[in-house]
Amino acid sequence: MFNKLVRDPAALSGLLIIALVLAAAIFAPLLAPHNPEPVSLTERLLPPGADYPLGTDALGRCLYSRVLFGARVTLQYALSILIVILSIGVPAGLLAGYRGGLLDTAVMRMVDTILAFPNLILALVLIGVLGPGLFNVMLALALVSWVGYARVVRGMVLSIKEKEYIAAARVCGTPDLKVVWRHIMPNVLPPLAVLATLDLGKLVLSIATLSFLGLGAQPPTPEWGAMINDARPYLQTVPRLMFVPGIAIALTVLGFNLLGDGLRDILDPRSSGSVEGEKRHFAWLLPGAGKAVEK
Amino acid sequence: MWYRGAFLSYYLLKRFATLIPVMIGVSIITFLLVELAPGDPAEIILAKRDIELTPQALEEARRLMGLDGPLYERYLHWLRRLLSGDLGVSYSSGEPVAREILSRLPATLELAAGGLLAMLLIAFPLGIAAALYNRTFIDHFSRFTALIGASVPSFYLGLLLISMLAVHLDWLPVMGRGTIRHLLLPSLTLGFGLAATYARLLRAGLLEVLQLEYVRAARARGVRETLVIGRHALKNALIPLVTVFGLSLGNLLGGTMVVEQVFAWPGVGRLAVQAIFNRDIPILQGYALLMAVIYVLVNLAVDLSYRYLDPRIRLGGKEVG
Repeated sequence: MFNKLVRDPAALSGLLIIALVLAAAIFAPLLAPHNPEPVSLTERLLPPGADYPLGTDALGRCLYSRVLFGARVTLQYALSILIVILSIGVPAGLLAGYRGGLLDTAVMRMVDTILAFPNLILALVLIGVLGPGLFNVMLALALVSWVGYARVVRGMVLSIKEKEYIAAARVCGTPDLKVVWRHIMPNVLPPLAVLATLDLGKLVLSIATLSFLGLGAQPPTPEWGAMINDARPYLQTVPRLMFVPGIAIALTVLGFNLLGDGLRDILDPRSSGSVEGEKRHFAWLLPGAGKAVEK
Repeated sequence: MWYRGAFLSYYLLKRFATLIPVMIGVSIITFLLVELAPGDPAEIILAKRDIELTPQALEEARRLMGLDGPLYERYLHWLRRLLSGDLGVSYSSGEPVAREILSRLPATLELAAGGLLAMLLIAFPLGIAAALYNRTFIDHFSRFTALIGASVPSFYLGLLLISMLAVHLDWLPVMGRGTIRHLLLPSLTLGFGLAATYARLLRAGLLEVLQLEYVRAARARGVRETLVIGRHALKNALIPLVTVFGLSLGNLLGGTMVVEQVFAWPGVGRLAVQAIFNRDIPILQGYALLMAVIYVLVNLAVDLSYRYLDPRIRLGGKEVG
């Protein structure tokens, strides 16, 4: 599968971009020439030079170092949120789909209710209640996003459950947990990988957007969305303050999107370019993923 | 035919019935927002009105605001007031929340409509061109634009547009609301991200329809290509677009909040973001509720409309013989 991925130029470039951003995040302390946080008012808005590869921002901090550490902040939070979402959404979907009955109804009612709110708006309002900050952004995004996975997983379980080999396994007396783990999970995983990859891009966007609004990362944390917000007064005079973090966000999201597309093409070759495929993909790019997947 | 009407009204009834639990769920979630928020609403209101915080005054205020009973009683009290249009009072302005929100709703709806129009104006030419020139430069260009549209954050795009078109070239006003010219940049910002993905969907739909018998028949009869596309193919290629419209509406509504912030657009999203900084929970509650209601109702309308557009679905999913 990895070979196939590398042979697809789009997926390969996605993989390379992600590798680059990941490297920046991991090795930021080694790569960054300066500490990204301390303010130095004597070195405000310096142009790029030997000491500061991308110049300094309005508070005299090294822009290059801040963008590198920004990768760290963004990926750290995006991955944490994804892990929380997966560990709530997947078990909920498996349980609801496999057990059915009242449990299924209860889970799906909850899912439908949360999906009745536009995703970003519910996250915003939750942050309003919890108070601004990256940790609360994480909580809010996790609370509104797990439902998409629960729904997708449940839908897949429902269709797999009807297969003969599942019935055979159950007739042989295989315990439920083993049926789910051995026979259902392997079928659920590939589409989940596509969804999770595309979702990482969405999470990066959401974190940046909420931080841009002043609700996520608080100063002096180097976060890309917050950096763009800080750069607004210098839109005309020092545009690179906005360009650099903006390109970092777009590139990271693009990387996840390219990789997600590539994975989808490999795992589900027929869907690529067809109406159903585009529709599913379209739904996956949007929050509350999974509504259209079932149809 | 009587059975067609019967199918539709049965479906309508069933679809409306599914709304009830969702709406109850939405009301519970929005109610709980205030319950979970730190701070005592009665205390905040008293402080706002410069009333001394004596225990008696607090108790009286709690009783008047319906905050003294157990949770379910408070919910029912809140729900009763909600159903009579009372969403409470804004902590920061002291005005009724309903009035605050409704006075800003037209601006948000105007922006959403502008964004939608911009989306269609970009998506249609791009999608049709990509289908007609499948696997050529134009097709690749549309795919590339779709990727960019899905990857660039809207607030960043908005700032770029401001910097290029409003400040450098001085073609359009930077921010505020008023004339059509004010609406152009925010609409473009809002519509671009979605447009690219719609264009891909339209392309896929057209490519599938163009291979069908009736299109080939039309072509064989020598119908002009513009007519083949415009009259025969496009109509059917539109159905998948309508079905996903309901889904993307959530993005559109969430997008208005961000775009309003970038362009200082005086809508409900901007009000909500300000409310966060003022810890004005009733405003947030009203905003969440309103957006959920709009989202759910438009999705219902979309559902019904594509059932109407596509006779196969209209007749309960059976193929028309």
